[in-house]
Amino acid sequence: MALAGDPAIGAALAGLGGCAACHTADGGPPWAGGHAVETPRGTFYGSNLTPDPEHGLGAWGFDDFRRAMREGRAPDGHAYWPAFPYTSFTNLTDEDLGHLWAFLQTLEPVARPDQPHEGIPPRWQLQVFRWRAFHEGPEPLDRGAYLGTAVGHCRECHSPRTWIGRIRTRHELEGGHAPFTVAPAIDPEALAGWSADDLDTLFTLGMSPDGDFPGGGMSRIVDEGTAKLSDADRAALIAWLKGG
Amino acid sequence: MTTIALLLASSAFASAPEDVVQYRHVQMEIAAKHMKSTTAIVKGKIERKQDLAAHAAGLQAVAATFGELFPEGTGPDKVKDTEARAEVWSKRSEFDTAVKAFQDATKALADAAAKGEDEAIMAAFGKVGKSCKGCHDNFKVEDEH
Repeated sequence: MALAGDPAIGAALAGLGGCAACHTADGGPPWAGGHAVETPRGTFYGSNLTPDPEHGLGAWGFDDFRRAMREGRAPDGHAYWPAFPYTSFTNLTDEDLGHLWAFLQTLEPVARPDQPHEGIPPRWQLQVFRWRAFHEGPEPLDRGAYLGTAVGHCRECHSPRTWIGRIRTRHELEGGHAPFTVAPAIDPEALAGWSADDLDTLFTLGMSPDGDFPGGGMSRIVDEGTAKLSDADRAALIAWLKGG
Repeated sequence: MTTIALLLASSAFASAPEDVVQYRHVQMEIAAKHMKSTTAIVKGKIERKQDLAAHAAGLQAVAATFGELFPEGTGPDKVKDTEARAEVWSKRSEFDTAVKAFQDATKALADAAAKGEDEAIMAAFGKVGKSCKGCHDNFKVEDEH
């Protein structure tokens, strides 16, 4: 059963989660899928999240959505590849899933068929059970950790990965490297030279302490996510990044 | 006399690619420093609103000639230490559009600073930041510290 969600809150959560980045093709209609996530284990294409009944989520109910986000399973029961970071989303509360679902209902339906993933080596298919070994949520988290791990999933890009592409859990946030994601280290040690105010400047204006404006995926996360957080939430996220 | 001779020499021969790359790095650093100072002012960390026009002028000066600092032969295929992507040259018209956005945004900041209206300054400042990001998104290699 769907909770009464607020689409505006859902939109802000979706911005911090950076959902549109993977679920929109370069230059394509927003939220209709098609961005390519290239990994050494195949190229994955974000799916159509608009309410189109045939190609999007139009035929889904809230329970289907919650199962996808929390368990990484499609309505027909098949497991999603974890390029879709459900191992992070599993900790989203029912309330926030309700807001996200309400937001997704407001999108314009786009009849764009999903693009099949490409080049996944058969040997890797056998490894999916290892991928699926994750702790299912929701786990209670303090606000900053919740924003940084369940919604924002910073670690998905900012952590090194093993050969099958699993995050090296003991090295979370120590920087992502080719051939997976390329993103700087943001663990408390790496951020030692950054004050809380430096992080606030990055998260509101997009500028790093050296006066640079980093591009890449992060600028969109800033514009649509961190800049739209309440001051209290942004402060909580920063405190979490700084190590509590 | 020496100075004149050097100037003449530089106009007679094309600059070495490494020197062009170094020069454009410095120009970007100048822009970054102006942005950093501007941020401190617009965030209200320092009462130096009277300096905004000078920072805006500095940014405008960098923007005005920035596109000229990417001649053929100074891309990642020719020079080691550049963070410019090959797309600067392969998608030249898009790059030129991004540089134009940088020029327009810095002019808007200079205009707003001259008028001294806080809201217009903030809006223009945001536009400059967007032009930086917009270009870095597509034409600069991603940082890996």
